[in-house]
Amino acid sequence: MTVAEEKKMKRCPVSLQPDIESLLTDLTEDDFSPASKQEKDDFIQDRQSVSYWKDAWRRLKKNIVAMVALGVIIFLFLFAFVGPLVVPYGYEQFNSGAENLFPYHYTLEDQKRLDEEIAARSDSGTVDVAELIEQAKAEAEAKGEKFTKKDEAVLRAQAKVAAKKASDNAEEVDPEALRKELGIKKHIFGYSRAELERKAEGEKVFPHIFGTDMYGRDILVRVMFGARVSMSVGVFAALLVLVIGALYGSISGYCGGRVDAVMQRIVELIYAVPEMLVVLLIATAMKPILTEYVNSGGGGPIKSFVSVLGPNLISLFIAFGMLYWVTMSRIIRGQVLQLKQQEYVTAARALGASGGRIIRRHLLPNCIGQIVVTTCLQIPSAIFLESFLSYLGVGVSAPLPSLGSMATDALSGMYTYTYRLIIPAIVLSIMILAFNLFGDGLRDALDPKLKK
Amino acid sequence: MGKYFLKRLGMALLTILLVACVTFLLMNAVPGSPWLSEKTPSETTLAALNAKYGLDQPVPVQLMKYLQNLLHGDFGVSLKMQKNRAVSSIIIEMFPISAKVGALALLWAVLVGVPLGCLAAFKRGKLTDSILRVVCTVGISMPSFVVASALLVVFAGGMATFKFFPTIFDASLGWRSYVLPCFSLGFYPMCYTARQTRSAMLDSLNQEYIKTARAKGLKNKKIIFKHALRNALIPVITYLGPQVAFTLCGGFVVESVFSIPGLGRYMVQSIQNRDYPVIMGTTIFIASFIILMNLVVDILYKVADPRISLTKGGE
Amino acid sequence: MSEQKNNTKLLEVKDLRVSFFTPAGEVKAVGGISYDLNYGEVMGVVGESGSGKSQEAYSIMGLLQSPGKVIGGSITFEGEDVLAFSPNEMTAFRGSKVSMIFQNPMTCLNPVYTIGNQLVEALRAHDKKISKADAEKRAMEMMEMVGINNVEKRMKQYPHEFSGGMRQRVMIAMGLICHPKLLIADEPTTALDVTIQAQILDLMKDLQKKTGMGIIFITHNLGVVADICDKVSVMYAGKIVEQGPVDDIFYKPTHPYTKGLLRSMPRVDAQSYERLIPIEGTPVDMLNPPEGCPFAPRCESCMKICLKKMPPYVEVGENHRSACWLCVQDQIKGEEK
Repeated sequence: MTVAEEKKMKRCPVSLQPDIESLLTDLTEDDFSPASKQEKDDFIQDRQSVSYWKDAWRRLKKNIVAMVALGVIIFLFLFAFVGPLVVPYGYEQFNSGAENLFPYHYTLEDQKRLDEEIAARSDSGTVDVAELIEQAKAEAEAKGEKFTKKDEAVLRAQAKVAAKKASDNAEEVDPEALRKELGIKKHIFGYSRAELERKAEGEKVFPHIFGTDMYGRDILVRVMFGARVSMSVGVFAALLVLVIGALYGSISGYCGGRVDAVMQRIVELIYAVPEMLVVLLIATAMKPILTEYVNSGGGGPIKSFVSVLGPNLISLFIAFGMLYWVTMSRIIRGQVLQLKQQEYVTAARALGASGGRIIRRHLLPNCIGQIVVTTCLQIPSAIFLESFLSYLGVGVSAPLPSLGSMATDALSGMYTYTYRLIIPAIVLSIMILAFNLFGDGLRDALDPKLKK
Repeated sequence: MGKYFLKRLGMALLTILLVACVTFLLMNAVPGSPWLSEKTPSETTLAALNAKYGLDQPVPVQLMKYLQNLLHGDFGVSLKMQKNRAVSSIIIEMFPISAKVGALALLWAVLVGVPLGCLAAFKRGKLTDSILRVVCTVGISMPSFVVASALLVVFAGGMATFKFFPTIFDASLGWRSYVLPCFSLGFYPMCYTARQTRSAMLDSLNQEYIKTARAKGLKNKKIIFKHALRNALIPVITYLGPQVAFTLCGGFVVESVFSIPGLGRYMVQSIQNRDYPVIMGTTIFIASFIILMNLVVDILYKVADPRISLTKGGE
Repeated sequence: MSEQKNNTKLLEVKDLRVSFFTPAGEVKAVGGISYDLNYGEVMGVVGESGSGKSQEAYSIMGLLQSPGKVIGGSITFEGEDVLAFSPNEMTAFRGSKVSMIFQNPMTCLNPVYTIGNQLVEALRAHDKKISKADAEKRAMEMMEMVGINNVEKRMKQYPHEFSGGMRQRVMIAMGLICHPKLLIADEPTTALDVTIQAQILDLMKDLQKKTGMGIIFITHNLGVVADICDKVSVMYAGKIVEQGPVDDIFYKPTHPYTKGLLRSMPRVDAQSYERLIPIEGTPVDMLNPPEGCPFAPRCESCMKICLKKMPPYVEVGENHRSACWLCVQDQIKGEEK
């Protein structure tokens, strides 16, 4: 076959193959021999099959916001669970002499300077009256005049007015303005004066990074424990909801028929119950009962479990367990109903697989994505609820700190000690935000259909 | 339609009954009594008091009696907080204030939330969308007490020279006292509505009928407002149902923070004071209101979506 | 020659390339296809799912959804460059000159508006002056034309009150209400029962004769094509592998894929002992399309060259061309003789 012959070939007018001739050059007879099976198989470059989880993880990794949120969550976990080991204060420890510390301090020298300055200012106005009278007497005598009792009285009155003014002045000395005048600067972290002195002597003193409250309790440690409480509540409640919801939903969806109808009526009933109200009631009602139970003496694993977690937390869990699983159960039921019609389930049933096995092996793995997402988004809502209840004074209560109750406690002095309100509020908001953002990211990663 | 309505109404009544029973039993399970904090009364007075208010009878009898009275609209009388005043009259006094704050809060939440959600969906993937998403996610991550406290700090803190909006509710100041409570109460629903609207809108925009509308040569505006929005609003309505009632009955927290004499705050106080009839009365009232609102929304939902036939009812 | 052709040419597509930029990489959904369509002509586009036949149609309508993008080639409609249209021009173009009906009539109508509303809307989008009453009258005429009875009542009904076949009729009425010159039908019968399919096909054939519009009929069913089309393009993995008059495709197929399609289709005239022969294997992964002919791995007469290079188009009959190395080989042999 020659090049000339190839060129004679009719070229299709519409075909836009640009260089048909070059395509046809250097063709050999061998090219037209049949290809072997092996060659054909090699030809197909199979895409590396990516597993569901790998694919989801890849998508999640690309989602910067979600990854940052994950980082924040990990940080908060460390903060809450490792943090208290680092800080040498207890959440219940009253540090006497360190009450009402701001999250900043002034150096010892500066404090001394300030004290001296204030003392000086208040001193300057006070005059010794007797001295004044002596002076006036001397002056009068020098001039040859008589110093009468009346003159003395006038002088005394004048002196009194002056003294009063001076003392008023001293009270009016605004330490804040004075500090500015003296050029005294704030230094981060709170130290009490005693602690500063100890520090000056070379002792190692751990600062009150976020300051202290009115009893001298370290706010940092309290926030750590508050975060610990919030996160435990969030995670445990989500798991509780997951277990109850998944069981209920899959049984209801799988059994169908009358069982399903009855179970769904129950769900509808619980749906219509105003959750927040009932949680409030349950939390209030359960707390004393559980407290009594714990205090009633005796042992047993359940009792020790309850007493370790505290009656408050347990009653919160009970409230969650009773009410919040309905959404989860609905989701799972819906998925199960949808999947039940799939042929592989029919096939499995035809092969004689038992009901439980079908649920475990076929149905649950297929709705795992939704379950994970719903569980993950349940965490922030549980944290939300816990803080809400604690804020109202019915959730986690003293001595265990909670971010919500810390915020309530701070309300009374909120204009002076604003940081006591702001710090727990910010930590709480960041925590919920991180879980929400991560949950969103997870949803986008596990279900790309939702995002688009 | 009638049959469906009756069925739902029956269901609603059953739920209210359930709530009443649960509340009653929970209240009675709590150790302690309303008389505890008063100057420890003697055994005899205690017995007399219990007898007078029927607290000495077995719980089921008390429950039955209570339910009977409830049927006649009798919520009982307050035992402690406003002694001997009828609970119903307390509710009648407090509910309108809560309702007003709640309605205003929800109004701004919807009026701002829905358009923001649409905007975000429409600008999907662009800067506006990202900013709105962040703002709304932050919004649903802040409990209402955080928002309310932030407002307090800003509007009443030391640096606030500007005290135009009172932080303590004062009805005589008119609209000004509603601004801060309504803002903090409506902030969460606003953000939530915006998020819901965004995702419902995106969902709706991905539907095939939108493709048809585009193929017809409709303008973008028409596609979004006529075809996408109406379908997107259906799920938003379902969310708003329970939220309406809940917000109307007063964010417990917001009422406490701003000292609003509303039902929510009163209920929390009654729980702390163990004033059984008040707890029962307010809980049942709020619950019934929420359940009623759910019913209304359910019917609205079916009106908005012609696919769902009312006669078949059920799911 | 080309001057002359332009007068009868309704649509000309040249080397159209459409890619989807997915996170996993670029998917070349349409890899350079060319064809033209004359006024009043019906062209079938046949291929299995994922062969890019719908995406090609969407790019004519400007309906490609992100991340899909036209990355090359041209689309000329009545001498105008469709790809150069501004968004407003595109909006005016859609529905009035070209309209489209979709595969699933169940989801293509907005469930919350009445049929009448949606029909009138299609008309009024392009004819701003028409009064509401006139528009309704036109809509009713269209509904009668597509064979819907009791139109007054039907106009006020919602989509869920219509059966699948009826909805597809509504979709057709909606597509034709502005008298477009070209109708793109994207698998209009796939979601319907077989008996309804035949009715809809008859209706379309009938309407085509009445209005004289051009139709691009996208389907995976060769049987449908034989019934209605003048010419056929067979697509495989984003490329047209064979293109020609409908009779040629059916009686003188040259590309092994076309042959395979025909063999896998039940025939009325077949002998009872003949079995249907499926095409072995699965389509290639569009994410990393191999060099060479995409059909090669499934092709029974695959040659070594097929695995190395994409074959060029070869004219195998009048207006009939095929992209297969076998045809090239035949041609070379024929010329050697």
